[in-house]
Amino acid sequence: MATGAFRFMASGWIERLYGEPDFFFKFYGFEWVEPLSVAGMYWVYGVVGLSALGIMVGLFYRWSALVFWLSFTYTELTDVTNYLNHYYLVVLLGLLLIFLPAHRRFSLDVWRKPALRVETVPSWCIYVIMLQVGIVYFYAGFAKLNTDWLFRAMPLAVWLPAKADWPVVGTFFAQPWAAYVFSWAGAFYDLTIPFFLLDRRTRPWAYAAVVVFHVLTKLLFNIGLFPFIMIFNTLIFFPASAHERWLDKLGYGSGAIGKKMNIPKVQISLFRTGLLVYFAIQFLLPLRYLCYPGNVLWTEEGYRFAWRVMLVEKVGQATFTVRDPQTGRQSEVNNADYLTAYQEKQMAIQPDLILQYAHHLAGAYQRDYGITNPEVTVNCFVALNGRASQRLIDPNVNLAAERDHLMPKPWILPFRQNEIITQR
Amino acid sequence: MKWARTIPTNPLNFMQLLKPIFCFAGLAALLLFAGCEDDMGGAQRPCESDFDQQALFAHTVDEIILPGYTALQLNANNLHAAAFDFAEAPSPQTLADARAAFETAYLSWQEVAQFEFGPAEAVALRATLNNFPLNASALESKIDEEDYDFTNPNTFDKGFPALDYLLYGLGDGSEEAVAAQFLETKYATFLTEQTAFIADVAKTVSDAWKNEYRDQFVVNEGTAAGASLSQIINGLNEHYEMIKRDKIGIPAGVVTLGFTNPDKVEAPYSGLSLSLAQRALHAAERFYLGIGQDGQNGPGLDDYLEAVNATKEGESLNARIQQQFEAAKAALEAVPAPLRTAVDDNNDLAVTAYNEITKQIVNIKTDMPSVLCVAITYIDNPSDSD
Repeated sequence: MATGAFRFMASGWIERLYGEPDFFFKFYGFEWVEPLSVAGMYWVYGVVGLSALGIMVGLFYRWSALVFWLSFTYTELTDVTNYLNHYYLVVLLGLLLIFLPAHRRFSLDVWRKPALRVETVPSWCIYVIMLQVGIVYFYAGFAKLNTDWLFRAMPLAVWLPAKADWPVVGTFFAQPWAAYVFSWAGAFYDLTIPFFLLDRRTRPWAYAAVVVFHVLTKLLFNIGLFPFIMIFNTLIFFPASAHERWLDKLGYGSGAIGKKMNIPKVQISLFRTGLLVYFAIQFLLPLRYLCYPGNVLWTEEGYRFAWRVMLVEKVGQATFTVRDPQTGRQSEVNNADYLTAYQEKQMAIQPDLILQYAHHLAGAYQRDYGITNPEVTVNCFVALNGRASQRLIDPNVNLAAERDHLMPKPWILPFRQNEIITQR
Repeated sequence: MKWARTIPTNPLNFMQLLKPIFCFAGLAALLLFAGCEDDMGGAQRPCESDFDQQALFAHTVDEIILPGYTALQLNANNLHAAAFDFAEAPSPQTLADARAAFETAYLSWQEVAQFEFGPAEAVALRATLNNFPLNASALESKIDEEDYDFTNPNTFDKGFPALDYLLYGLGDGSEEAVAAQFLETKYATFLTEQTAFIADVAKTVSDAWKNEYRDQFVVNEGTAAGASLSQIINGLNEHYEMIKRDKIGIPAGVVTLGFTNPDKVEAPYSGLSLSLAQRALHAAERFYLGIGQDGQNGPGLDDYLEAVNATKEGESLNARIQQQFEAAKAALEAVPAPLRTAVDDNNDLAVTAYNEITKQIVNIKTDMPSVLCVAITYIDNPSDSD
């Protein structure tokens, strides 16, 4: 993750993410989180990078883990439009790491205080990571069991032919059935890989599949560090003996002292309750979409934090109109005046962001043009997975008068499934 | 803490774990199959067609883009010649000739303004030739400073809008007043430097297309960002939105709470704004339909949409787009020239024209790329995607 932080700083993304926008989309419940100035954000990313290094070499491990989790989570909370599932995974793993004794053997902390050194840790420490990784895969696969993914090979049918210029395999990507092969294989992989990784006999093959799958996705899509995170994370499925063997080969084998780690009883019961609550949330959160009417890929109610990865190719346009109820005068908004191109693109397909932006516009017009209680309406059209577009938002609703909440939003218009394009 | 250290390796155990998953997946797949056969209308394969992209690109270049630039180059040369004659001997007669040549050249520019990719993009052609509204005082100081660099894409003191001012806006705008102003050398020099630049840059772009870009463009198949299809669609859309917003919307006050901006029309001094907008709208339609300079209808985006059988709300998407072009053209025809006064005197007509032009945007900017499966990545992500 240190690489990630330094990559952010080096690539100028900090300016683009924090310097260019005038307005930041907030997560529900975290509206109070504000980004710092660009210089301030450089410091925060510096802290993220250093604390990640601290975790890696095991120096002041607990503090490093805590600082890493706080600073990284902060960077993620500053703007919803930058939400990515794999950053969410890093947030979760970071939280778990605070409580796990991952510094008790190969670490500078042990070098500082040899008494910390232990050979074995309680098995639950390993299991929590396995379980977390398993949940990610399983729900990612579960989310793929939809008609678009399985029977229209969408959105891969859009994305793969775009790579048809690759040498050798390019022609394969351009084949219509290639997208189907990738779709089905991807769904099968995600659903089953945690189980194949668990079994001793299938594990080596499963791990080979992990490497191939993630390297392929890395090459095909712009997904940053995620493939590496998963490739290294899944190593946890190998038993300690396998890791020891490799360590021996690399010359880091160590005279086993066989010291076991002991955790006080009180702590254990605390951990147990904590983990129970944590994993209950992890199991239920991705399923919350069931509480909302309509297609989650369309309404995006219950979409985030649910491991819905690479599921949609969506393009939208949202044209806002602000109206002065006193004079009847109205104005069409040029989104570029308030948002970056990337924010606009993200906003136009996500109802909760549309609502936030509508409120922001109402505030801006109230402030800049002295309009009291301006009405904000939107003409929003979204095209999902290669279809013609449909209206996403009721154009007659004054969004400035609507509040954000977790209840179903009646002003999101339902997706009309039979609006598909038929070919030949 | 008696959780087993060993990871479950018992095969029986393992299979028991897997079984419900497979059952569930299988069942879900079956259910989905059963549930969607009807919706799908049989074999339906998005993103797949045997439409000949290369024929579309070749026709677009050979019959629309290249003839467009050839015409611009010719008309720009004529404009330069007329401007030169006028600058040599300013008189109402030479001015009338220069104005006529200006009008022709400016109209032919509208034909190619939408091809802002490849060679045109390389020289920022649209911004160098037609940034408007003109900043007249910046232009006056540019003339004073004898600054003949017209390449900065961020200034509003050059190109056709500058000529609009020089040929129609000096003094009280009468032929005598304008001609009188050109007795001053720096005006005469500026005018001919500007017209020479337009002729030059038109030749640069035209030559670049002819020399190598044409062949490159024709074979650049596929749906990826940067492929010719995405360039065509983006080019069409970018300029269409300028017609909507810059040419009509801003003057008509739709983005300023209904307060009009008559001075922000494209060509306020010559009063050509409406003809220019109409020409641009027609050009967009011909670009879409694949109608060449000779009037022949060849392969266009309309044929592509028909080839993939694109429908929207039960209707052919192509038919909707064609109808909307008709509606937009009709609404724009209904606005009385000049636009500069119409935005105040007939605001409702200008706003109606704006609305009709706007309605097309969802069809060509959202629906068309979506059903043609063009990867919409022209807004690049500031970081990763997932």
